[in-house]
Amino acid sequence: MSEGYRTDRSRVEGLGSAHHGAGTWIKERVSSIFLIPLAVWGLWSAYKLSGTGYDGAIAWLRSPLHAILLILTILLSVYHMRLGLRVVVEDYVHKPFGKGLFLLLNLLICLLLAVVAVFSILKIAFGSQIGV
Amino acid sequence: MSQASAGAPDKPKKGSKTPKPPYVKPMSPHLQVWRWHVTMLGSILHRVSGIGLYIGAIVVVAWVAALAAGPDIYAQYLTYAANPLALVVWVPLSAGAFYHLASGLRHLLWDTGAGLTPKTADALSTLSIWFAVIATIAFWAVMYLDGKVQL
Repeated sequence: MSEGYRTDRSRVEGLGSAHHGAGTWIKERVSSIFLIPLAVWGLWSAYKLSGTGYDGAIAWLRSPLHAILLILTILLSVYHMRLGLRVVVEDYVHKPFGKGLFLLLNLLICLLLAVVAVFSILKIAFGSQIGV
Repeated sequence: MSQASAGAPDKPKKGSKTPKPPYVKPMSPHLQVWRWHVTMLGSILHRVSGIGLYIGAIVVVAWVAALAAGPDIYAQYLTYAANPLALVVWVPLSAGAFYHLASGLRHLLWDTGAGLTPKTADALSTLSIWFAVIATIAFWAVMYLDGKVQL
């Protein structure tokens, strides 16, 4: 399209649009739409769960509905916040090394959170936790 | 943008190797240049609350991991999380969640192209902020009245 207007140098540097901005934008919006009801449910659950102690929390998470909704909430949140923090890093960190480092850290933290959360929730939901 | 991509810089004078800053470059308007207005505050709060909720997600995943690790580890988690001092974390986190939720709805509405006149945009931003303040106070008032929070 606009390739004809680019100088040789700008083509070699490869800066400018990566041509997948619209896709990222839509992903962030779609995840946010699902997160509206899930966030309300999460806040409601936080209220219900506070003060119930270990047994109360275990009993709550043994319900398949709660386990599934919590997995959905955490996975969508992690997905959404990886996209969001990526933009923050890209806005404020301009040196290639620092930017790459923070983007990798962002990915690593989000992956870890997702895996640890799903593992823990399933462990409780399938009833193999220690002590009960 | 990296500095290398800023087009052709001023030609260096003979003898000097590279042009030294300050270059004459166009300035991008930023926080310290703009007059404060409510849509700007709303945008900043949206980003700040988003970063805060990132920390919140770590706290929540730590909760479920502690729960899965058994009663002893969970009791340890609760000595931190159920401590009155932890309210310093929980109250801002809940405020961030309420704000990001309301402000996110505002953004989704704007994304459809609606609500973008200055008057409506200002009103939506003010509304998001007040929603977060009132919802946070209500949430913790109910928690307190139900005896779930002891000070």
